Amino acid sequence: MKKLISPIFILMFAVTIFFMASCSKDEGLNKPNSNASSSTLKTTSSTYSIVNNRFVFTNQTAFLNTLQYVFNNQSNQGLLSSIYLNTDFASMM
Amino acid sequence: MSIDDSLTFLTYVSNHQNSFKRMEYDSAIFYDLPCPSILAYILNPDGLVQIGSKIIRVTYDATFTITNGDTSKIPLLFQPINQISDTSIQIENRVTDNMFSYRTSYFSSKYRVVARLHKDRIGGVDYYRAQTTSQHKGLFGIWFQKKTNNLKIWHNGGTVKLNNGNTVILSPATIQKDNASDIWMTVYFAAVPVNHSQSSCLVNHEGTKGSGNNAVVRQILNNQMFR
Repeated sequence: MKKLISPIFILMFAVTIFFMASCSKDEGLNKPNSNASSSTLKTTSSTYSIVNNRFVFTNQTAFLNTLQYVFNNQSNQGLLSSIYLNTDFASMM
Repeated sequence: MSIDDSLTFLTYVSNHQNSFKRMEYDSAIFYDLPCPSILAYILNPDGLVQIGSKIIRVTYDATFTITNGDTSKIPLLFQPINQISDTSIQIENRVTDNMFSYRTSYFSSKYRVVARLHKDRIGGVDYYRAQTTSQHKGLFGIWFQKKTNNLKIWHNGGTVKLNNGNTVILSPATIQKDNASDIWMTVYFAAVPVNHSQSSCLVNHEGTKGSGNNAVVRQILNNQMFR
């Protein structure tokens, strides 16, 4: 019985980790407002990282692509307020 | 927290001094973001962002750029402009009067909406933005932001002629928010300069005070974004 439970437990643990990893890949710009010292998140059009709580873009094109993403979604303040690194000004107003 | 709670709001502003610019105009006090709204989403609380080897700090008055990626120089970006002598730091002064249109419409002698248009050039990118603010006339006749039932900015599309010869068609766009005192829309942004004389986008601003049969609507229409 003990021998059977261990592989099942390991399998369930692996599935859980895989599921969590899949979800985090889809976060895009929704959740970069963390204080992670270095993390890389992907949007549909650009790649950036967050270092010491500031966005770091690889180049001007990546920066402009992210600006375009925010521009395209600027009417969705619920979405954008979650990526707001500045203050919670948007939610306050 | 609510902007209607002045004391709490001013305390908040004092704790986030890099995030707001206090501006006085037309017997009114505005607390504006130091940069276009879409850029504000990308800057951190100190106005910092890094693009390649460029570390940029955006403030209301100027844009500072460390050109060689040397993070040890970031503290220099917080010094007064006239004290920065490091040759690896570029300083681009903002046009202080970047607000080029200011119009008002009154609900009453004590309540009004303000429509503003701004153009900013930051880090080689031009931003065109519209703003609608509701205000209440308070002590000493000073206008201060005050929430109203609904604020709205919209346009029905436009045409942008760029200096490189390309033409961009703007799709209709609307931003509105209930129970708000200030909303923004970035109407257009680009790294290529715009030929204003051949471009057009008429922006509309609206404020609603009250609800149902008691709702009063004030509009400021056909505000030309490119002029």
